Amino acid sequence: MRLSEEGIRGLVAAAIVSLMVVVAVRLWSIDLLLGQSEFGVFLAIELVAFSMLLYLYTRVSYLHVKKDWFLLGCLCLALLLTLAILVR
Amino acid sequence: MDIKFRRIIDWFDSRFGMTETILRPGPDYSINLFYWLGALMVVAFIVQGVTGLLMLLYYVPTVEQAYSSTLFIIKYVPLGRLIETIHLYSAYAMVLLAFAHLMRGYFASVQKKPRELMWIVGMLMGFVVLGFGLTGYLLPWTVISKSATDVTIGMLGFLPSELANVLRFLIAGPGSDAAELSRFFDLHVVVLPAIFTILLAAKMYMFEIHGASEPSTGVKKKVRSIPWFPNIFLYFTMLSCVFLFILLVGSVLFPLALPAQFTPSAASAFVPQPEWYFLWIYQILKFSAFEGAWAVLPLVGITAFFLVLLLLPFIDKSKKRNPAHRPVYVTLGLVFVFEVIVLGVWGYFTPGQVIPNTQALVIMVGIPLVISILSWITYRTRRTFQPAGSRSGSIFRFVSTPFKAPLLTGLFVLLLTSCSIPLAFAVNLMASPWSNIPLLVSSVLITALLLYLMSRIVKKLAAEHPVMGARHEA
Repeated sequence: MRLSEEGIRGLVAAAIVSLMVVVAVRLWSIDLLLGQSEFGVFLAIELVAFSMLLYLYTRVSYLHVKKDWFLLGCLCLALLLTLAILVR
Repeated sequence: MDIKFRRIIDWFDSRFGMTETILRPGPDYSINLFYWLGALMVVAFIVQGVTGLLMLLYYVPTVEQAYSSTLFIIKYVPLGRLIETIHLYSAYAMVLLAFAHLMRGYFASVQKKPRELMWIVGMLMGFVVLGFGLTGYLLPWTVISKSATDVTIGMLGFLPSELANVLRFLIAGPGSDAAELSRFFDLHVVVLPAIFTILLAAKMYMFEIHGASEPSTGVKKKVRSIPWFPNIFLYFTMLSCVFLFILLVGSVLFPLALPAQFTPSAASAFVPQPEWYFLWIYQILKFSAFEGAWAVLPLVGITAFFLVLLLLPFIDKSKKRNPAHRPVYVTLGLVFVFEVIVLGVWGYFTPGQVIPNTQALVIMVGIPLVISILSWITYRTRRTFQPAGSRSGSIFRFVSTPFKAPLLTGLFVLLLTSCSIPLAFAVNLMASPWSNIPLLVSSVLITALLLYLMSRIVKKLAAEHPVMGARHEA
C-alpha cells in the first residue's frame, strides 16, 4: 500500500478533511476567554492536518511521499488531541 | 499530479495568473528547510504584525496605563493571553531564525559575488530584529522590562558624551519615563516595521535577480527547475503551517505570565537582566576586567565584530565556498556560535554578578582553544583519510564516517580525553601566567605531544582505511 497511489491518497485526504471540519466546528463553539488553551491546541490540529494534506498532494509532483513524515504527522495529531483533552 | 487537484490549481491560475508571476522557478536543491529559514523569519514577522495590530486595539502607551492595559488584554480580552504569548514567542522565533539564517549563510559562504549586497541587507535586517526586541520589551512597563531597558540605555554612557547624548535622545527622548515609553512605542510600531519592510523588499528583489545560492559543496550535473506555483508555493505554505503549529503549541504549554508593574521601589529590589538574546553581550560587560573606565573596550570590540560581519563579503575574498576547504573560516564561525551559547547560558545563571577574570579567561580563551584543536584534528584527519586525487566531499558527510570505523572513533575519544587534562591546566594557568611558568610550559608541551601522537596514529590507520576516498571513487 503506497500513499502515492491515487485511491489511497483520496481516502486519506477525505479522512483529513473530515477531521478538519470536525475541529473547525469545535473551534467555533469554544469560549474565547476561558478556553484559550483549547482554542490554541485545536488551531494547531488544523495546521498540522492542513500541512499533511499539502504534503500528500505536493510532494508527488517531484518526490515520493514518504510514509515516515506522514506517520509523524499522525502522531502529532494524536498528541495534540490528547493535549486538547488535558487543557480543557 | 492528481487530476482533481490539477483542476483546482488551474482554476486559481486562470483567475490570478500565478504561474506568470514575477517569482522565478526554484532549483530542486532549494526544496530544503535550510533554504527557507529567512522566509520563515518573514512569516514570524507577519505573525508579529497581525498579533501586534490586535493588541493595539487595547494597548495604551502611557506610563499610567501601559501595564494595566497589557494586564487587561491578558485577563479580559477574548484570546488576549494567547495573542500576547504568540506575539512574544514569534519575536523569539524571529531572533532565533535570524541567527540560524546568518550562520547557515556564513558556513555556506553565500555572501560571495554576486550576493554581497544581499548579505549586507540581511545583516541590517538582523539588527532591526534586535531593535524590535529591545523596543518591544519595554512596552508592558514591567519591573523586568523597565530595569533591563535602563541598563541598556545606561550602556550608552560609556560612549563619548556628545555621541551618547544624541543617541540617548534619539532612542529614549529628552529624559522622562513618558518620553522614553512613547519613543520606544513609535520605534516599535512605526519606524522599525517600515525599515524592515523596505529592507525585505530590497532583499526579495535581489533574490529574484540572483536566485537561491548553489550548495557550497557544488551541484549535480542536471538541476531540475521547480515552478514557483503550485510546487514551491505549497511547499512554503506547508513549512509555514508547521512553524505556526510549533508556535501555537509553545504558546499553549508556556503561556505568558506578566511580572509585577514597574515602580522605583520594586526596581530597587530587582536585579536587572536583559532578554536572552542580549545576555551574551551583557555577560561580557560583567567581566571584572571591564569595570569602570574599561567598559568601553568590550563595546568597541563588539561593534567592531559586527562591522566585520557586515562587511564580510569585502573582507573574505577567497573563491572557495566548500566548508571542507575553509578550516579557519569554519573554526571562527564555530567559536562564535559556542561563545554566544555558553555566555548566554552563563549570563542567565549569574544575574548581576561580576565575573572574575580567571573564569572569564577560561571561557573566552578555553572555548576557542578547544574548538580550534578539535577543528584542526577533524580537518587534518579528513585530509589524511582522503587519498590524493580523489574528489572532496562535504565536511558533514565526513563527520559521519567515524560511525563506520568504531576503532578510530574509540581512539579519538581516548586521545581527546587525555588531551583535555593538560589543556585544562594550561587554560587555568593562563589567568596568572607568570606565577608558574614551568607547569604552564609542561602542560602546553604535553598537549602538543598528545596531538602529535594522535595525528601519527590516525595517519597510520588512514593508510588502512581510506574511508572518504573509497566512497568518492566508488
